[in-house]
Amino acid sequence: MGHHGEPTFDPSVDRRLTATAERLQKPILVVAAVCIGLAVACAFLFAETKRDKNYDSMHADGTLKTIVAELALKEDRDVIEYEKMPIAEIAVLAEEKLGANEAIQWDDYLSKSYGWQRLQASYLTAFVFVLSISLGALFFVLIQHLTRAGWSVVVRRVAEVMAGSIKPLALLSLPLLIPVIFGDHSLFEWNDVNKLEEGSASYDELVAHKRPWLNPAFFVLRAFVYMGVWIWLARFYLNKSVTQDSTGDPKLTMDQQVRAPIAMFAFAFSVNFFAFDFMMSLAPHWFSTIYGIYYFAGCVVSGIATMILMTSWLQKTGVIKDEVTVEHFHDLAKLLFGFTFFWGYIAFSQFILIWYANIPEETFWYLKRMENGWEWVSLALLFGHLLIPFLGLMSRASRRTHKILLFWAVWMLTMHALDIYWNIVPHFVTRPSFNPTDVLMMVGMGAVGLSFFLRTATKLNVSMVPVRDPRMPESLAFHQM
Amino acid sequence: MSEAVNETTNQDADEATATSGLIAQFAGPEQLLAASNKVREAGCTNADAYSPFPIHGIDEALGIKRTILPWFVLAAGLSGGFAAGMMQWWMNATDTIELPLIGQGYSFLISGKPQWSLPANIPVIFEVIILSSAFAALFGMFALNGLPKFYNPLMKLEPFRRVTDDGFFLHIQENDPGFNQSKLESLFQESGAVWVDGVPVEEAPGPLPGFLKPVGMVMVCLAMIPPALIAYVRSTPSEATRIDIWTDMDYSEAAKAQEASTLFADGRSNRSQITGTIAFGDLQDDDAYFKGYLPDTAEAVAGSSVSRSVQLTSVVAQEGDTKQDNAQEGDNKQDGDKKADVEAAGSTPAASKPSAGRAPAKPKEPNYIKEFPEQVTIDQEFLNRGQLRFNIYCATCHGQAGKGNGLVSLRAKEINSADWLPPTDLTSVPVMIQPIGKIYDTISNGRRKMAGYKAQIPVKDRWAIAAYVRALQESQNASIKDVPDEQRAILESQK
Repeated sequence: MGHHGEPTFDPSVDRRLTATAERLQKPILVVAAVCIGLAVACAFLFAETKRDKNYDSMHADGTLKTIVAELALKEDRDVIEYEKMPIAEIAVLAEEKLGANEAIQWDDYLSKSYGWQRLQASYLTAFVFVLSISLGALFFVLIQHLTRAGWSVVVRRVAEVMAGSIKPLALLSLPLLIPVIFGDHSLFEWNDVNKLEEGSASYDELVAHKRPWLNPAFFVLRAFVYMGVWIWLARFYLNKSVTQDSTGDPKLTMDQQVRAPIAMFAFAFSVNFFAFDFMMSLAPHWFSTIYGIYYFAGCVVSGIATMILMTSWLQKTGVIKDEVTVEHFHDLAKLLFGFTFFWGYIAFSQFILIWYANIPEETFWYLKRMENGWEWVSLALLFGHLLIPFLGLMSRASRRTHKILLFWAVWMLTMHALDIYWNIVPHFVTRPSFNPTDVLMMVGMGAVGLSFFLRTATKLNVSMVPVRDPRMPESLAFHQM
Repeated sequence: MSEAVNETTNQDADEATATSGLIAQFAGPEQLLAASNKVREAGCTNADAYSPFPIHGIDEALGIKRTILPWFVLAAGLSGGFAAGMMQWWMNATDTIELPLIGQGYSFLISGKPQWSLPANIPVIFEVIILSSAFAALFGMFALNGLPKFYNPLMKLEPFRRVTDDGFFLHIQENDPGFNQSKLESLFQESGAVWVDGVPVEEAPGPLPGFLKPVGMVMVCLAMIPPALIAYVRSTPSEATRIDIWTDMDYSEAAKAQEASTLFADGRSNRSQITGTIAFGDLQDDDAYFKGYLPDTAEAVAGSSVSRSVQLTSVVAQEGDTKQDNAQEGDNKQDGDKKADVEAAGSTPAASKPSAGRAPAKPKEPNYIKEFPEQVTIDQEFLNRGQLRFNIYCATCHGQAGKGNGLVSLRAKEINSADWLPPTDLTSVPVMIQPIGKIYDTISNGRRKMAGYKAQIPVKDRWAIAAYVRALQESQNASIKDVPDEQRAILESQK
């Protein structure tokens, strides 16, 4: 009944990635290794030193705080006047007014490099970014089963495989978790035991209060739980779907469908608390109840964008045939558009409440992103992540013209990377400058993610389209109104 | 419901009914689709298909172009959003722009936010974009569909009633460029049309029922009554209590001054100061500053606390006692005695004991301070203030130059007021030799017939007025030699 010829679907055609994967695995891993190696080097080469930092009484160490207190006394000024003053300037003042100090050798002190911290921040950014793509794909799979959708069957396998690569990705969280177990607090400042001692110069009442939640043991345990939930969900849905390729059993669809609601709950909670733990806790004095949803929105945007790119590439290389039509890309584009706006809505909601109440306990997080050059990144996000793509993806033409859609998919992926960068790095870097560390790490990690995708596809020898899904005819016949 | 094609066309020919087009019914969606294609190829650009459910591909088959409605929605959304932004800007950030019929904005600070601040205005802008887009979509869709319509002439055809059930129809209007009755009829035949008929012409609407016009006019007149009443009530004053429908916070439960209260034993809302306490800022601990004199010996204090009028009337009583002794002299002597005694008393301020037949000596003067108190700094600003307050409170009686020729005084003289005592000439010698504290005391508590002004004039201002009085005394008794050189030059040029 189709007005344009319906794609003829032959389930027996080989739609496996094996050949492509074998060809690409090695180069991808080489690229990944080179990028990550360079990133590590750059992290130490281009790291900020204490000389570049501004005084922040919330994070300053005891020695510095004492010196500032003495200076304040000497100059008859309030301690609060030293906030945001460059530490180098404080050093000069201290040397002038207080004379030589045994406790602190200024040259050494100011040269202290933040390379290790910078590396960890960069790694965290890249890890969270690549993970978010897989999480977005997992969400896509769950929502299709939850809504008993028929249109998406032809593109669902790509999402399932993307979600399936969470398993190896989870291992990549270990370089972040192991230092935490050993008490390293360069990344997660709540891990600093000095902050727990009442009476010590670095005592932080709020961090001490949050210790029952933010302590190494529970933190790592929770990380395992999140990863475990995701790995289990991804594998369950991928395995069931792949089994159906050979058996064609509709009961497998019912199995997946029936568990979708509880799966969605588990997904929601785990993603939400993952965002709290791995990103929000970087600033333990701050909190935002919508933060998890903010991260989730970014996950879906990047997940859909990558799905578009992946499906397009697979179709171009001949793995997927003409079963995926412009209609399916149109629907993926609609989802991309919708979730781009959803991201903007959530991001703005988070911002406006904090802006409107204007309470210092919350605003400092945004203030940090509105000064020292970070305001340009914030503006770039506002325009680049929300306003411009909203107008760009609005028209029917841009959703149905493949090249334009690919452009916007790449654009959204880049903007999402910028978003994660903007969430994490301002804690560690006073002035944003082009530091190859972050880009290299993200490219490297992205390459690793891609290689995991290929591995997942080839290990299970999957066809990139669920050939015997009972809803396949509906998907093949799908077109927009 | 199918009829042979021939019968229908014969019927039409027989009845010679005017038609506005052709309509054909088909067995199913595939046939309709095929016919639509053929009809489009035959040159019809405005054909319309009717079916119970949407048919895939019907738009292309009929050559229907994509609607321009999205452009309406975009335009409405953007302009609505812009208008919402401007509305908020006019309402909250300006108060100088006046719009006709609406008035001015009300520039208003809300909890320290900037008056025009995008984050605060975004929610409204966003919602109005949504609203205007939705309106454009809904009403635009109606408009582009030619709705609302009184009726569709197709509904007059019996077979067409199946259109919501199982009827599939194709309709071509007469004004369609490709309309050719015979050609189309044969085309329908080929496509397997089940029924073909002409579409009746859309009738002009019939005449309105006769009663509508007069009834309508009456209703319109009646409808004008409520607004007229409202306009009347709003433009005329009334002494009746207004009808308060939404009382909101109009009748506050808060206690008003002087109101009775059931809460307190004395039945008053007003609470007096607790005995033995002084409110913050009310402690007047510096006598020199607050009273103009320093604390004095108990004697003088005791003596000065008895009011002068009481002292004088006690003289009259004593005079009355001695009357019996000196009956003849008493009456005549009383008034003159009083005057002479007062004068005598005035020249002997030291006398403190009242003696029989004599007015009590003037009470000892308080120890007025001779210099301005240390809290007061005399500078030009201070004197200007003094001048300002003097002209407000004092000049009415004492005159602007302090001569005693204020307007009130002049008027009193004009009407020969019986009990008017001329205000003192402040620039005269007796006032010039007064210590400054005494001038302050006069302003505060009054002297003779002048009432005290301490209730109206704050302490600092009273000192300012006193300083100005000194300035007046200086100026009114000065000669040209006392004028500073610059001013002198100006004065002399004005001669």
